[in-house]
Amino acid sequence: MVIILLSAFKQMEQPLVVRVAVSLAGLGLIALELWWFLAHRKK
Amino acid sequence: MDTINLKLTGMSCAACAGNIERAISQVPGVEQCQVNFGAQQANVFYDGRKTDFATIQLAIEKAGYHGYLLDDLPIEQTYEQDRDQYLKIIVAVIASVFLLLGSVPMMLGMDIGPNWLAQPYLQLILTSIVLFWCGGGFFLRGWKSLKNRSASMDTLISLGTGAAYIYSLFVTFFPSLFIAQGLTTHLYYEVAAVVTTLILLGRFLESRAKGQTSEAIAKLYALQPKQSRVIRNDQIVEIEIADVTVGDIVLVRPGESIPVDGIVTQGSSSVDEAMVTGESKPVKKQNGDRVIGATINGMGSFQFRATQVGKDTVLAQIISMVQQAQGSKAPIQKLADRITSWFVPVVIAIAILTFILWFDLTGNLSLAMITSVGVLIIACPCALGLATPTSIMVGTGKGAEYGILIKGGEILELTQKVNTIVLDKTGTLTQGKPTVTDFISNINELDLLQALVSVESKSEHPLAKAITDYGKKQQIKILDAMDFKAIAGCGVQARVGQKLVRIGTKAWLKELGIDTSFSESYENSWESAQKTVVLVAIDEVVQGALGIADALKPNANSVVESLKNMGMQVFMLTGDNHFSAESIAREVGIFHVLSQVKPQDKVNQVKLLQSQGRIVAMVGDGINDAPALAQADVGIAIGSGTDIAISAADITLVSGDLQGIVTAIQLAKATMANIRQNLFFAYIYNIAGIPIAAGILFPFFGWLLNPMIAGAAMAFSSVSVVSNALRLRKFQPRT
Repeated sequence: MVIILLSAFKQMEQPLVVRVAVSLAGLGLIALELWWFLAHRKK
Repeated sequence: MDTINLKLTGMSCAACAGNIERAISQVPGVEQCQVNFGAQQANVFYDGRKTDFATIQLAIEKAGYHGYLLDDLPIEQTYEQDRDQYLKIIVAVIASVFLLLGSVPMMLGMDIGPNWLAQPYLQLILTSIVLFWCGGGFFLRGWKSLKNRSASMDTLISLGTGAAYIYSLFVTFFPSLFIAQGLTTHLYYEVAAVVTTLILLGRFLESRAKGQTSEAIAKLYALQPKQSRVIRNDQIVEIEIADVTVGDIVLVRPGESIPVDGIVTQGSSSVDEAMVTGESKPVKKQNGDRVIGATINGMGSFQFRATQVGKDTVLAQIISMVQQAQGSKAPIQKLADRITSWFVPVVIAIAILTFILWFDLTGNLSLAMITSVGVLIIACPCALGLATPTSIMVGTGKGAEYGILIKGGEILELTQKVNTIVLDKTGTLTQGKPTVTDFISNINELDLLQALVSVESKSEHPLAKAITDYGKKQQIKILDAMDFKAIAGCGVQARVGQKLVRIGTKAWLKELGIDTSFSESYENSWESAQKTVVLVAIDEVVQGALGIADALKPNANSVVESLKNMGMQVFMLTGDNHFSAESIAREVGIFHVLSQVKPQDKVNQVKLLQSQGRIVAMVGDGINDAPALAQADVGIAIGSGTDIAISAADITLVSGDLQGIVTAIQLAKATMANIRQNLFFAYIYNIAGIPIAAGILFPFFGWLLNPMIAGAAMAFSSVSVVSNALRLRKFQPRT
């Protein structure tokens, strides 16, 4: 219960384009949320 | 400048406190705002011409929270909220147990438990109830925060549980998509539900514990009696305490609580004032003595005239001071505040980064999802936010129990750093009221004393009071004194019967041609013991002399000793000449004396010590020493139980007991140590918890943290911080 063992998750092949897309989308999301929450602060 | 204290509801973590602080601060006219997450309280300083309570309240509502004036939170509303909370927790626990029974066998690959519990649609229904009814508040507040471009713990919880729920929804309705990818169709409904339940439970325990941190206030409120017996139109009537007005004659029977503050007009008794002043021994009260509301009468009964009622009573002022102190912030919290304001957005970024990394490294969507959910759930800004305010609440509340009123967190932090104590002599080290210590007479002692007291009873000089008090103790009957005359700086004279009585200085009597050799043998020894010598002449002949001294407080010696043992440098400050100041200082064990200091120069003496790099605490009587108290890093006022209103000091010792200085420093040290423990725990918890949840141990040991365990750990972190703060309730001063 405390831990989930390695065997529970298999290594899977993903096309490079999917990995790149996920990475870019994720980084974009990080930038967006940081901008949304932090960029407007005045005080 | 106006001030309001607001009670806040709807806060879930320290980030919420920051959000409310920002929302209030942006209201035009608001000068300063402090929101205390631990006390769920806001202190707002604003310009009454530019804004008002309603506008501030609206700003709080818009930010997604509720604010009420401190006394206005409807009791029925809190009861309803409590009942609602219980019901939701019970439902969430039952649903989570079913969900676990359905998912654990699958997780462990074992065929145990009823299979119907593993049905995806049943799990979906149960989880939806837990997530959107029991834990709906997380989503509602999370959404409001998001709209306000602020992030809180609710944002993290709703993102974490929401991600697990949406992933499971896809698995439920489109399993083929996952099978085609080679993924298992494992559901994570139980993760979303159990995490929500654990956090609800944790928050419930946390609020119960937080309630205990403000029990000092509750205890003070409980001291007030509800009814009062007063004389109106020559009849004794029982009225509500709120209806007592200044000037009412109030009756107090044995064992009753005194309803308001006043002055005894008839009868006598002893009163237990421990709950207000911290004084452990009952105090004798008779005609003319002040009584404090909420203190408990002993075996006698008496009447008194009400002088302070409602918000003006000592108790009301103590409650207000403690409430303000509990809502204040310590500078040590500033770092935690700065971190929490960045915390949630940064944690969300780390969670997304975790997702990207695991997806790119393993290509496994489930693994990426479960690790990022773990990060969102384990991060706990609440522990960081609770670390300081909970300790301050318990610390200041504990102080009030000992009759030590501490202005706030900043003062606690400064007090533990103090390394130099400056004690004012008069009224601080000494009783502050001159008393007759020696009396010699050439004629019948009682006759002379009667003449003395009869004349001095007409005078308002402090030395006259010492003489009349002395006469009272000897139960001397006062005679009529005629032709009373006071000669400034010299003495007084009057005719008692046929005799002309003159009481005054040796110089004055000499000036009048009276032989003063009678008391010469005593004078030197009295003067070297810092006593004032007063001569009494009857019809041109000196017949007696008095030695009057301001006696040292009985525990002055032991307190100075304790302060020195704590590593403090103790200074005595006085206007006396160097010789007599040294002599008194030696008597109490003080080696650093600042003598011949005029009242207006006390500030400069404090400044001088500060310029030497010392952190100075000045102890004075709070009225005459106000500028020096304000200049010192920590101003400690010795009160007398009734003058706390005028005390502008950082710390007020209500009972006037010097031991309070030692207790206040010990309490400040204990509170700050407690805060440091809490902050250490909160920082370590987050610093270690987030990387583990992100899977840092996975490459080495193949271990990943189950998000349910992350939820439990998160809930535990807040509860443990509050529990640690509650340990301070056991604080006891060391003597």
